[in-house]
Amino acid sequence: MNANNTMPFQMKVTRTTGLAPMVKSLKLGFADPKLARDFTFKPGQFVFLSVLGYGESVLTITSAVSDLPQIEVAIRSVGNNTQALHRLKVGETVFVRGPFGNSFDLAKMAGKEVVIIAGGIGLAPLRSLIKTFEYEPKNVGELKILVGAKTPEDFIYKADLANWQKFAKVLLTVDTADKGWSDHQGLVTRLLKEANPGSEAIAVLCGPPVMFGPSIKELKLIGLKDENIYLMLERRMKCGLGKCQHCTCGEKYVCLDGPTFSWAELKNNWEAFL
Amino acid sequence: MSLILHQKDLTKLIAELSEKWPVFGPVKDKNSSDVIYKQISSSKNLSLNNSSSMIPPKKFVFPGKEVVFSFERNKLKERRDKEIIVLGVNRKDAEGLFYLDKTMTTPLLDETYFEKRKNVKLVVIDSLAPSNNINCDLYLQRVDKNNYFVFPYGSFGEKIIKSKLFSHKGDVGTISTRHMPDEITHHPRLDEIVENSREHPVWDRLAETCFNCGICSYVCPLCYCFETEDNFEITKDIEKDCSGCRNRKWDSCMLPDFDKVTFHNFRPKTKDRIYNWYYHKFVRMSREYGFPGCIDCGRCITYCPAKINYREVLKELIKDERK
Repeated sequence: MNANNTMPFQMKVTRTTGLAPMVKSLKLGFADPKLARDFTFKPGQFVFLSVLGYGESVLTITSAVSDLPQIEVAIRSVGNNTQALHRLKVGETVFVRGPFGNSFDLAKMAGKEVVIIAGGIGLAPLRSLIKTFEYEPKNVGELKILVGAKTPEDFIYKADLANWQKFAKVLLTVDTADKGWSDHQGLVTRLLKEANPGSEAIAVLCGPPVMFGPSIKELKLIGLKDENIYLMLERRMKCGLGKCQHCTCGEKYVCLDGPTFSWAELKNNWEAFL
Repeated sequence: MSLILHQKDLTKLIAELSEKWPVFGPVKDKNSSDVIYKQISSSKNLSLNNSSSMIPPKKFVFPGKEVVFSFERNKLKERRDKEIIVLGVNRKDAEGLFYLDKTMTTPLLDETYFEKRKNVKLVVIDSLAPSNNINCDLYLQRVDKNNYFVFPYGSFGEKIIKSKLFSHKGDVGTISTRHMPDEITHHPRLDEIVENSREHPVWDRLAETCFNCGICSYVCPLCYCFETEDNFEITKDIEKDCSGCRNRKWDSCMLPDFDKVTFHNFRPKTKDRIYNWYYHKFVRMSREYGFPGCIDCGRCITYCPAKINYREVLKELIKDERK
């Protein structure tokens, strides 16, 4: 992080990878060797990425801490800045602020059954956590990864999903199947039956707001405790410092208090899923 | 012994200060009857006596539009601010700035705000004595028709009072300074009352009259939400020789797109945005900082085109809570 938290620092693109239609992954290295040594973050934290002249986009770091001194992000091309980020080639510059936000309670997850539930591009913010478990399997008891996408080609990190089967139970579902699809179809919550988590499991969710309600309902039926259900929220953000007011969610700032919240923290919040 | 400035010397003081710094003060606009902060060189036309400017002095520390940094291709240039003096701020607005300072510098410090703030020197003029909730450099308390009591703060204040215009005199007596906290905006359980009022019919009623225009935020001394936006020179090729700046601009949580991301609007209803405006000021801010986001200046009542009056709204919530 820069001393001045409203000034970005430079990073260079070291690799670009197409993940799905409209979605690209960028791998970034630090331009400043001192920052390359000093920079650190926690899984779940996010950065602001900018091509100067186009604005800033909020992106969760998708790589693990042990992947430093490089970081990865996944970008869906939807606005001016994200389109500009998609046009970047290896060696070109991006401007970064961060890291911001909270992390996951890794100590609490150690030895426990952890269920990751992701909808669409919601898998990206959870990848840092999954990779942390991949590198250090002792951090988790049993890992289950449930992912839903619109169509089979919309899954991001397809290679990872295949790879993660080595150490986790990976279940996939799509809204709309195509000829080659023989796996599940329907909402991601339907995978919970097959995943069959125990009542002491810890669940971590990220996806479109419509995914949260039904998922929490299912998890509560299984007997998960409110404080063991974690949600990663998305909001519009402009500062990362708890000032600009765009990311407020009732009494919480998603940029400072979040983006990860337990259901115990949110269940009485008047605008948790608005 | 009290330090005194004679009323007739105020204009000389402004002239002296203007030699070294740009000095801004509240002046009555000739065309509208609004009071506006403008650069001044004398006390002529200065509008004191607690008259409220349309835009509060927050505009000097948090302007409607400001450059965060500029850039030439991939080279960043930090902004440099010059010292200015803002003179004639009344006590209420000075307290507003004190609270704004708190919100913008704690728990995290916003560097863009802080850079500007430390270069704004504040001269407060009011008939009330200084309160603890003011960060100013000089305080002039008007004690009678001809005299100001002078209170300097910090090295800048000490520097100003070296002028020959200031003199020491025997105690002229003290003026009662108690300023009673307002019973509505400082109601001891206001945070709870507003928090529990989500189902109250007042929000639906306000949603029918509110224009979603955001004026209540722009004129508020304690509204500080903002948008950032990159601007660049349109004659240049942005990919090759991009040259421009990142700007920070006032925003308003009353505007329909305030919480819109690409595929979702998190606060699409006017009713929810109005509730959030009150919730921020009287619940979130009160709990986060220990004071409400309102100094009771009444600007949002004066300038609301729908004539929404927060005092009436809060009064109704307090009354109905008792039922």
